[in-house]
Amino acid sequence: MSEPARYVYEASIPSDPGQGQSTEAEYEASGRSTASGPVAVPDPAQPDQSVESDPELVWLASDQAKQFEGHWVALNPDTGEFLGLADSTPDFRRWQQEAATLVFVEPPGYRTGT
Amino acid sequence: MSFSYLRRYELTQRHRPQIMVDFRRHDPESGRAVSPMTARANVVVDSGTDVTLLPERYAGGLGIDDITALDEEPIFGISGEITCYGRVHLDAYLCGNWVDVPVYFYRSDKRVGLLGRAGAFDALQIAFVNRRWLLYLSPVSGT
Repeated sequence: MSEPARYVYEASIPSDPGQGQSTEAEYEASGRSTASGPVAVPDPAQPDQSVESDPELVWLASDQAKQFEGHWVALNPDTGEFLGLADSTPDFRRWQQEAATLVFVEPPGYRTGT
Repeated sequence: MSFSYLRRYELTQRHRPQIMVDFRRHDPESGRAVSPMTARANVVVDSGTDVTLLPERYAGGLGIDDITALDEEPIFGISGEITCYGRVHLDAYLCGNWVDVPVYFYRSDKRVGLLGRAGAFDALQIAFVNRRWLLYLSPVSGT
């Protein structure tokens, strides 16, 4: 579990309706700091903490993931790279032994907790 | 309010606040980990769920070969009742700490897990800014 440098985040509620739907690119370009959005202040005095999105979740948001909706897949835990299908119990266990991350790719649709 | 972790969920399915969490088993008496294996699961951070629920598939990797040997527990939701099995105390790696989290397993293969309040929400302070799909997290002091 590698963890990049720690930041301290001040959670704030955006007040400008036009700023509410920021994109990933806008967020990155902003240096993680916008006038109305959350402010991230590097805190070198603190130990390392996690900041970035998990690579597996980045893959789940990709176009490639759409091909596997409704399936279990094995991903590289460090890079999020797709390794293979894991629907069957033997495949699932084999990928487990290879230390892959195993995730279910949810199909489209609304859901409730249970 | 300050937080030490930030997760963005704008890219997740329906903008669900999902995170990846490592789970491991521990001995409830000593608190020590009993298996070198961890199960890394994508879970929805769900304040409306009482206890953490994981698909049965993750049980094997945690050294639980047969979840039906655990106690059966009906768990209710808006979509009805599902039979779950537990409860097992697992460690969940949250915000840099292993946190004791009670977990039930369910048999459906077609749902991602839910990180419920028991244990997890006790150990964290959490803020959602859903309009920006941001999830702020920090360990609660003393955990």
